[in-house]
Amino acid sequence: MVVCRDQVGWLRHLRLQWKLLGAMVLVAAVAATFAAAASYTARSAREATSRAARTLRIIGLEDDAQAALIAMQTGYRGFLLSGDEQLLQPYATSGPVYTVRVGDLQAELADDPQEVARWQELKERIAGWQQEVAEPTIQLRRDAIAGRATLDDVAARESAGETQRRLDSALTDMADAITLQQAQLAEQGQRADEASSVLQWLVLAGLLAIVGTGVLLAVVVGRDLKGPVNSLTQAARKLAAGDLSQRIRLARRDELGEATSEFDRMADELERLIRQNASILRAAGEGILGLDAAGRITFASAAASRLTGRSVADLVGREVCSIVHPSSGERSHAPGACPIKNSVAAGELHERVEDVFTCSNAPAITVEYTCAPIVEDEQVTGGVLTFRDIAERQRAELERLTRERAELARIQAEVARQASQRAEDTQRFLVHATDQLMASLEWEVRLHRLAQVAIPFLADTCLVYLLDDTGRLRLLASARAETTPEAMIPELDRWWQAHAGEVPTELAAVLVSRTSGESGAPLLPWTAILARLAGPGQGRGQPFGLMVLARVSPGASYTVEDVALANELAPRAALALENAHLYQQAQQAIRVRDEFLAAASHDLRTPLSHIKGFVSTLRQTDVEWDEETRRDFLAEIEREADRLAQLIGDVLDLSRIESGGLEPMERAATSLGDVISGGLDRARRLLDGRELAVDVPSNLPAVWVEATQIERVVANLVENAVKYTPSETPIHLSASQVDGAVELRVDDEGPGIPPQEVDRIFEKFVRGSSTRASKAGTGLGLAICRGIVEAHGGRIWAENRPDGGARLVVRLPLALETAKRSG
Amino acid sequence: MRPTILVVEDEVPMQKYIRANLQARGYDVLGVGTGADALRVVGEQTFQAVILDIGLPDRDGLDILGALQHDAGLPVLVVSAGGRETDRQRALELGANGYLAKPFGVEQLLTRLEGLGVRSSATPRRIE
Repeated sequence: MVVCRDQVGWLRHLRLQWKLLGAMVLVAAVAATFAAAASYTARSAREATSRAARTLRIIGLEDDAQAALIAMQTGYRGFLLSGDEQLLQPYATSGPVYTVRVGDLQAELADDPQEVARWQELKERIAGWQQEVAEPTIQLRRDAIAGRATLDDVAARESAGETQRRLDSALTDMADAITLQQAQLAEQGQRADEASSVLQWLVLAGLLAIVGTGVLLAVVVGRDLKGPVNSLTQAARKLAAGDLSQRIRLARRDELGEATSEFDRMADELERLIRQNASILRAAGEGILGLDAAGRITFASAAASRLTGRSVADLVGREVCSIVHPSSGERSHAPGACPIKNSVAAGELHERVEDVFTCSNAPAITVEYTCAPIVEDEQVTGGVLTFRDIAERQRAELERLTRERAELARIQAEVARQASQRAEDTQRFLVHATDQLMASLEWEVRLHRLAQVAIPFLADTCLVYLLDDTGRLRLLASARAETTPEAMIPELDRWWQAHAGEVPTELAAVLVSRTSGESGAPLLPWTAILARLAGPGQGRGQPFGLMVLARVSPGASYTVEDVALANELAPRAALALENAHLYQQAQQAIRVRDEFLAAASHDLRTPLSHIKGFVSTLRQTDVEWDEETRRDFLAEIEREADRLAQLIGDVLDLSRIESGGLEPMERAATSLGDVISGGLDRARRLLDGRELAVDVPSNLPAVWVEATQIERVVANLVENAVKYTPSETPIHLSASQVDGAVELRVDDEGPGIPPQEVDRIFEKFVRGSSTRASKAGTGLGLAICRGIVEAHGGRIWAENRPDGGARLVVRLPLALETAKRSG
Repeated sequence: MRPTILVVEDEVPMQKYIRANLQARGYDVLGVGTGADALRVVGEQTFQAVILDIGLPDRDGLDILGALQHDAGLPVLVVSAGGRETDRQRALELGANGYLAKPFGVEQLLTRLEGLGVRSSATPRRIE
């Protein structure tokens, strides 16, 4: 690191522009000082000169005044001596001149009152002389000329006037004044000289001071700048030479400070980049050799050093051909045959996927290499040789494969462990589920257990559907985990009803799912397994229901194992339900049997009660019955005995029908009209005069029936209509051909059948509401009818007619159709 | 005045049997076939006792037992062809004054009727 010696402590923080400005201001100040002094000195000199000039003027004026006085004296004396008026002329002319000159002098000397007074006094003395002496003397001389005075008079007068003394004294005074002025002049001249000399010195000294200040400032500022600039230069030079540690670290805030700190930052960045490049080169797995245009190595990566068996320092500067020889084990190439040098020389990329490098200092290596030229300004300046040990890569590849295989084996083991765990869980689940399902034989209990049993192991919501009589699936049980919103059950049900509603035909469970992305987004996304319930028992694999096992949560899913488990659970569930159903049926059968016994016992006991009553009556001895009454009682006994016999017959018939013992063995193609006539003959005694309208077309096709049995059906139906309708209403019997069958209808105009009984009236001992019944029957008539009709492959049902009254319908197969079917 | 017995029975032969025997022994008898008729006539007429069949066409005879006993203040003899012990129990629990299972003979009928405290003033007579 270069540390700048910088002694001008405070100065270094000052910015350069301020430094220069300060220096200029300083120089200007010095110059101004000297200029001011010079100006002052020059003014003094000027003043001295002008004062000398005035003094010269004054001396001139004084000389003039002296000359005028002398001229006056000369003219005066000449006139006095000669009397020549002409000689008096200078006196006359010089008098005013003298006065004017003295006035001028006084004006010039205005600032010197002493001199003004001196000249005033001189002026008055001369004026006094003129008045007192000269003028009277001149007059006297003129008088002498004219003869009015003598010359002696003139001389006397003149001598009395002391002209000589007066004028001499005046002239002496004047000479004094001039001498005084001359002395002043001399003094002033000397002062002007002094001033100009001072001025000269000042200019010289000023120049020297300015130059000196400039030099001093240049030295100071130069010293302030020189250090850092030198440091900068020095550091830059060293940095360029490769010393990356060069920093200036100058603690100053001026432009140089900024420049040096920029330099430091640049050096930092450069060092970082170079170190980064170096570490990249070090880290690069490939050997990298930088080449100059002549094929000499300029840099080498760590891998290149390792692969060639030479240090980086050893590599740099050598010819690449002396280090590695591409191709096929030859020790060297013929001149100009090295593909690397050729590539660099030609500026062309040279690549080989596989080659052998023979190294001068290391074993030969199998490589993949690339030689790329470096082109700057369309000039090949060198190249980069990149080579990679393929053997190393192959080794690494092998290692990677081995590692991956080991990882795969570990994963397989884990999967197997999980699978076995899963199998165990699954088994436990199935055992638990079966236990739960079998725990109760009750249908309802099993249904609800079934809904609950899969939760939470296989589902968090479960819906159980079973087929109803119309073949539609009906939701009979549902359950959900605590975490599932209650609303999900109707949601799933709605979806199910809207999208399928039928048992899937596939044997295996089906997976469906619904995410929030669809239109009419669900409450929560869900995935469900649809497992059909098909019994192994009576149904013989026919599906009778469906389990919807759903997982309700974002991201919930089912695996193949889950579906398989559902496939395991479904038959168990089906079996459990089937068993429960059989149990329910058995219970129902027992109940029906009990009810039948109760009804049969009641119905058998009724005629028996009557017989016993009348027999008991006839046996009483306390009452004597007349003959007619006795006969009536006996007739009652006989009638009730018949009723008993018919009832027993009906019960036996029905029992035979139910056990299949009343199969129509003697079937023949029979006219329905004949059968109806026979039936009406049987019922005639019951009609009791009721109006009966029969509408049977004569051209009906034959039916395949045993006539006696169908006659009984007709009789029973008519008897039923008679019993359940008011005696004044008519009964209609009609027949027609319908869809390959013949339909027989018995209509009445009674109150109709209550809706809840329409399907039940064909059951044993079920008698319609007895308000309709005027006579008690056995309660077996319609049950026997159904047994007979169904044994013939026909169908019987009841309905209420829209315009009132009941209709009982029997549909019997045609003889032709039956014959066709059978063969 | 002869005591009048109300017979509520839908089976015509049974009604005929009871009526013949009671009339022969000095009772007046009114027979009705439904529960509704029974409730109607007890409001119109005075009876001494009721013979009530359980198996009525319009309703269970025991349903009107309370109305006949308490509202009309009549002793009731319940008869039934059900043959089940539960019928007797139900009838007696509901407060029937007597119970008679069908079939029954004349002596049983008369005994039970007398058990209700109903006696005929007349001696048996020959029916002409």
